[in-house]
Amino acid sequence: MPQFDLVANTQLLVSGLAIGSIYALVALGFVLIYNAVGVVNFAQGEFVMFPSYVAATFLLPAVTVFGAVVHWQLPLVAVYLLVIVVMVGFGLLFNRIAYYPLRDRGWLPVVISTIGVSIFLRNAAQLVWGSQPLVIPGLFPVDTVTVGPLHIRPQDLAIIGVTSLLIAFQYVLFERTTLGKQMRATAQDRATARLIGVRVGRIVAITFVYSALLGTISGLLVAPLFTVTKEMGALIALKAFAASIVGGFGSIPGAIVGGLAIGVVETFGGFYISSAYTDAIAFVILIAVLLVKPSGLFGERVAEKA
Amino acid sequence: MTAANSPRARGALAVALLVVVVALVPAFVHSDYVLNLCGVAGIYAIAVMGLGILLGFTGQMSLAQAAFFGIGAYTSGWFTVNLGWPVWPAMGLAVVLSALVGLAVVYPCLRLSGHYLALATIGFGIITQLVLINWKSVTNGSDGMTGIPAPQIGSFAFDTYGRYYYVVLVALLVCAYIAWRIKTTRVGRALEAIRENEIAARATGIDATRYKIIAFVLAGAYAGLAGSLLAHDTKFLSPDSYSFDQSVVFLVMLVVGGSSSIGGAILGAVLLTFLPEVLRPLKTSYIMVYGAAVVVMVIFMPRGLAGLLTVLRARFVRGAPPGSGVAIPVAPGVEPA
Amino acid sequence: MKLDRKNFLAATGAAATTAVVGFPAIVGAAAEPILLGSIPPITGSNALLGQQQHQGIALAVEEINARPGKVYDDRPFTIVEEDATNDNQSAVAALNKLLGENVVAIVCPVLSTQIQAMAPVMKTHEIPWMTGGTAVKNMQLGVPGAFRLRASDAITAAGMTNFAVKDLKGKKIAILHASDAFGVGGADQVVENLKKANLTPVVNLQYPKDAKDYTAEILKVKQAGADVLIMYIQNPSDTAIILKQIKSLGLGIPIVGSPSLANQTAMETAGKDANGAYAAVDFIVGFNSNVATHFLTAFYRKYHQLPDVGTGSGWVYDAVYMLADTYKKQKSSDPKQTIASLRGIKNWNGVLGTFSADGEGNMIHSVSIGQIEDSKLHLVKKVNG
Repeated sequence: MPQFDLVANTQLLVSGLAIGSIYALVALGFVLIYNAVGVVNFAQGEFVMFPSYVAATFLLPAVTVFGAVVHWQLPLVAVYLLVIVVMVGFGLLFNRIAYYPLRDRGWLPVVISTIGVSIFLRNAAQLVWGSQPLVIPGLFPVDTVTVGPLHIRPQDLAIIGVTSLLIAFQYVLFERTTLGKQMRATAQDRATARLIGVRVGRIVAITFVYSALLGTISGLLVAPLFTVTKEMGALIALKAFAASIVGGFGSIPGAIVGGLAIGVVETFGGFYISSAYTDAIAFVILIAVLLVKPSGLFGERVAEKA
Repeated sequence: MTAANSPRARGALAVALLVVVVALVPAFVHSDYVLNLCGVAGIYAIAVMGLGILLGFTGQMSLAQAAFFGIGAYTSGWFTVNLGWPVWPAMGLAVVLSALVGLAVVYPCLRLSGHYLALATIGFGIITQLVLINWKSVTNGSDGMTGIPAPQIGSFAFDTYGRYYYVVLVALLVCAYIAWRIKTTRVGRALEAIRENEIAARATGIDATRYKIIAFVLAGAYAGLAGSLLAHDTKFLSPDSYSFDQSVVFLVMLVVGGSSSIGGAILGAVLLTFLPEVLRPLKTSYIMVYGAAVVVMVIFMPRGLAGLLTVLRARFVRGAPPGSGVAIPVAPGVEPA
Repeated sequence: MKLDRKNFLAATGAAATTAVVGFPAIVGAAAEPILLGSIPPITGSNALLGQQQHQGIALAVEEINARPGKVYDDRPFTIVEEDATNDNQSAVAALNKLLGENVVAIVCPVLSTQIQAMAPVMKTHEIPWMTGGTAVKNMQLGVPGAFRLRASDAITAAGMTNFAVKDLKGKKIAILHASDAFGVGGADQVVENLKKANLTPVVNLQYPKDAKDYTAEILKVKQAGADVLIMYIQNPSDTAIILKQIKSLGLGIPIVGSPSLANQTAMETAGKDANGAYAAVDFIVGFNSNVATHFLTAFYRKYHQLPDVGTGSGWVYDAVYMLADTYKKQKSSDPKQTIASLRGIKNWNGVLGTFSADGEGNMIHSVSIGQIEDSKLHLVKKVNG
């Protein structure tokens, strides 16, 4: 077993928090959709993958699209805006195709539908962009900053920073704005929300869009570190799903804490226990939580939504 | 007393005819490609049927079928390759071991339901695959296990696709029969009651815990049998076949086929085994089309393929009450929901 | 008989009819295509490999079909391709379909698990099977027509280990490998070779599939005080991320990687973070002269990108040419005869070097060690197996 080392542990903590932040953001996306419509979205990982590809198309000097090489490079801010616009459309389309036709049919058909969409998107990505991994430059000109014996990646800090800002933003949105309160009311009880005048259909669509945007931000943050591939979202989504349960399914702070917890524990576990079993560590924690306190760390709801 | 002309007798006759037709396939089809696919479809159908008992009948979610599939496969693989056991007893052991693991796993999960249960099973599945990859002394790890033998009776070996087809067919019929007996007896009704409303079921005196355990163990046993059958068909095993994605495939097969009927499980397995093959000419786009097809099917066939056939049959055969479908043995009065 | 118009027309008509009827029969018989089977993983998680293999085979076939005489006697190749996907069961189905289409030879796969899954079926079909998988066991499964057109892991790992120990003077070797058959098998071979030098690795780390953060692994290597890191990883995306993080965390020790490290894709994706890394490779630019240079230029002209030679396009190109040469020499595409001829191949020159068949069907017996600089490889040393 490796010995205790302050430098190593700081590096592990930073990495753990960074990957944990990504899990947290994706878990947040899950939980929002679940709260609003009672459905687990198996395509959440593609909400991260797809905008990464779109961003890469306009960030890189040369990209292969449908077999032809294109040069559509745009300035950074323009690309971010473009991706946001695209993903708003994506969220609306997803709502319309994968959820809306099945909205009265219970959760299992919708789960299958999101699975179908996930398969479709992953392979559509291959068709459009080919199989080569794409490399997006990070937000910073340098990959590492050395502070004494510490090597820190500014991108990791950016991830942690942006996630914190987003969480603060979300708090303000949900607690202080009318839209946020409508979203919460819909999540609590759709029928009652409708009665008090909330346009539920619209709020549901907005929820999907918001979730897509969360995925977009995760993707843009993490793509420079992960390279953009069609499978990049799959494992993140699974761990995020686990994180949201650990935190307490349906709980927003739970999703965040769960995501960070899993990120940190699996990083430290990989160092102190075994790197081969990192995935197992996350799921063992999950199972332990489920057995001991199924409602999770912050469990608000244990009863199943109808 | 069932009249010879009653829907029940007609249904039984139709099933018997169907079995005869299916049994005659290798006499007319000689393509290795098609026979292999038929065998594989039948094997998947067994695993999906098991999931159907658990999810379709009892309403308990599981995304760990692939784990039991793998446990069954590696059990019979290990005993035949390393200890020289004949295949049949090894297959039997595979079923028993999968059932035992199912028993061990279900106890902690009894309190969970819905998404919580789903996630616990996902976790179990992923951990199982990691064990298969890393327990190299037993499973040979990622390298996989080669040289798995075909089953034999005396000197007659089931080592061609045509011959193995019958091994799978017999296993499928036995499993279907057991599932049908469960569905149409008191056990089935208890499982259904639990699916509809567990609290109410308990209130009427049903020992929900016992039945949930039975359903879970059966699902594991069926998947274990299927895994073992595939191992002796392909004669090679590797851990990447027993992933979460595979469990997802079983789930999709069940829902697309029709989750609460046995015929549905079989139809779903057959359809989703042959569909990707039929789509091969599409080259790179075929999986995209497959994904889109899944979404379309789930939207337009609420009761799955089995449900669709029931509806069609009811429309075309006058006088046949819904619920007494042909290839879908269902107890009278029970809706194939 | 008078040569009047009637007779003339009749005679001409008869001659023309004979020509029209007879001509295709003559031409058709000579131009009967040779059905070449190909089974790359076009979809699924190994789609990149599949695409490269597809490209390499297509290029070779195009060139051969354009030359006078085509393969031989004007017979062209016709590619019959099926998608192996990344699922073993699907790969076997694809193989069965391919075999049902009466191909006389099969090129691919490169993935050792797929090769081992397909072996039971190929055992009963005695046709040339040109594979690229490097697991040692692949050629020990009793498949009559199986040949391996790349260096096995035994040779590659020996080359890498020897280089690390003898040339880089490593004493505390760390190993980082993938969890798939390639990574595990390769790492095992490295450990075996270290044993021969009376060494054990200071750490032998396996990372889980799809991992994206390697902080824990790299820190463990650092803490173990390793002086050389040996990597056995196939996925170019994983490779790139690891190299980036190694640079980020300032590991600072020499890296010796498996052939995929020097794949064009891996080098380009890793960019400057790959600089200085060594890799064992089947092939290095400029090292194998004419054939290799021609292949590179032709590939670039057709596809507008440089090929991944080792695992992807190069070996399949060689496989198709080797078959073509054999068919030409024996004036026949008979599978059994071809297998016998291939068994006797000695010093055949291809992109990947010189091919000579041994008893098991292995054809490449040496690797080179190269060093990466600006996404290009420079030859450092050649190692024989």
